[in-house]
Amino acid sequence: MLDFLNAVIPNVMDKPDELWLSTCQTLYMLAVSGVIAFVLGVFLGTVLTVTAPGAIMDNKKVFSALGGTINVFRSIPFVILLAALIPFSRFVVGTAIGTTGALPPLVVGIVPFFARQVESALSGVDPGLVEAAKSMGSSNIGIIFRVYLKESIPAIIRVTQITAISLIGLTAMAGAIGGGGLGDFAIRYGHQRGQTDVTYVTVLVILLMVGVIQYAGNYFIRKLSH
Amino acid sequence: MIKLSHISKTYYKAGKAIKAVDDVSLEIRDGEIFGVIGFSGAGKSTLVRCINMLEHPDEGGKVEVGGEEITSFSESELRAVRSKIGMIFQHFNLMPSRTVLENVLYPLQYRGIPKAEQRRKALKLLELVELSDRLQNYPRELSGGQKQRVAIARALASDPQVLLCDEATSALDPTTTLEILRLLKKLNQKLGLTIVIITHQLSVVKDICKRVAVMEHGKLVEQGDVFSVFANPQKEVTRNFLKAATSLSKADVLAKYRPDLLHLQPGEKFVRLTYTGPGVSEPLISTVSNRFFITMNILFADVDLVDDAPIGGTVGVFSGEPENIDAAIEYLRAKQVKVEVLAHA
Repeated sequence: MLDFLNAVIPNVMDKPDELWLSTCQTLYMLAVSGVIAFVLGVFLGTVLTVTAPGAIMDNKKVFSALGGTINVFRSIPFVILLAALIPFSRFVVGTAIGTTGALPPLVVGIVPFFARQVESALSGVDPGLVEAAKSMGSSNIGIIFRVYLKESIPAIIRVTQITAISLIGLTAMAGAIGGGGLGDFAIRYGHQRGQTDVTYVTVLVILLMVGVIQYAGNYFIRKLSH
Repeated sequence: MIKLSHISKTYYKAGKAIKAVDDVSLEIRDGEIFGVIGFSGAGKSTLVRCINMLEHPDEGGKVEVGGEEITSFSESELRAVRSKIGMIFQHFNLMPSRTVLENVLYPLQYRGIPKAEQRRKALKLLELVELSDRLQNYPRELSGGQKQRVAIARALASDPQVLLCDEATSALDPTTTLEILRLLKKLNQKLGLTIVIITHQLSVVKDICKRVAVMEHGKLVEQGDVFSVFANPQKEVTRNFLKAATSLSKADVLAKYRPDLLHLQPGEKFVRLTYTGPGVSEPLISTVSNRFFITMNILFADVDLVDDAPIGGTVGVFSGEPENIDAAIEYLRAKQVKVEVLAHA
């Protein structure tokens, strides 16, 4: 087995520690930026939903300011965002390089996308439910948590799944600012040194991560849909 | 008592003002079942939403519920009022991710009521609507009638004095409609609940309402006891409801599109007699045929009970001497029978 692997993927077998480290870096970036982005995205997506015209907290100023900002950030290519946010990252996490330095741009890069996804998930809630909740004397906060968010759980899981997979894509670019991770690993060895087997193995590892996200997401959606 | 005075509601759509409700005033007494009937777009759903202030009426309109003028209430005061006014909807609006029991618990939670008490109450209400065997089912596993019964139980959870029903039976089949109406009547009698029913179905009003208001183009065009409104309709829209609800309207179609089917002979008249008074129990047709030497070939008849009094009519062809037919028509009119000559040869 070992001989076989040595023969097929010699360059990977050369540096298993580095592959392991890169995988851990990717998971670290994914987990930390993912959790922060989830909270921010659900918050902003909810704000967008409830401040929309005719919604329970109809507020044109907040709705258009937030919507506009999200659109601006969504249109910046991530590689440019990585460079542009260097001062911001230094301010927030104390460094602009390395895996930790990649966290602020990852969050800023994924939150606008996720907020829009959450907004569309919440828009699936029947306005009749909101009206029924109002007629029962629910407050706006009550309606947000007990109707909008509670009734959209499966939809929110689905968009989280999609976003997490996009986020893996973004972490791969973090190598551009010395962020490490699987993307960086594949570029340095697979691309720059022509060690094609490194590229393929990296792809396999990422594929495995995507698969786990898909499987877990689908499991929960099935379990929580009625 | 619910008292609406000068309620208007204007919407602005693309800069254009649309008056959904136009200066409506009405009073609904405690413990009665009050109907608001109108074709779609008449403004009745908007009007009923003014009662629990889901829609804020335009400046100048006043809503009084249980002696309190709620139009000037703040949002948080309104929330307290709303929890005392139950509401059910055409499409039930049950929370799909909650079970039957959880749906009924919804209005009881976060109000400082102990868990055990919440549950006891929800179970009692579900027993009242005869759904005790469905506690753990999700709404999508229920039939329309069952869903509406869950919605009724949910609406009653906060012990309201008033129940607003917005087209509550419009999405149900006739048998289920009757079942829901029976339940509403039972609640009205058992709990003294004041019920306001918004509908476009005349049968609903006829079955359970004591008093009715007819709406058209945002305006209240007629109101009163169900029998007097429908026995003696003053407005076109009210007559249209009656016609649409009885088979007597088929006579118009026949006269207009298929007069050939009537085979009218010279001198014969195709007529519709509508009974609006107590005369329905007299043998009017045999009286006129004996008295005026004419015959009436009855094509069809429809007599219905409205608020336990008969209402309806007969459609047929009069034949005989023209003077006699005219005299018979005069006689019937004197007996408070509305006679319409729809076609003659």
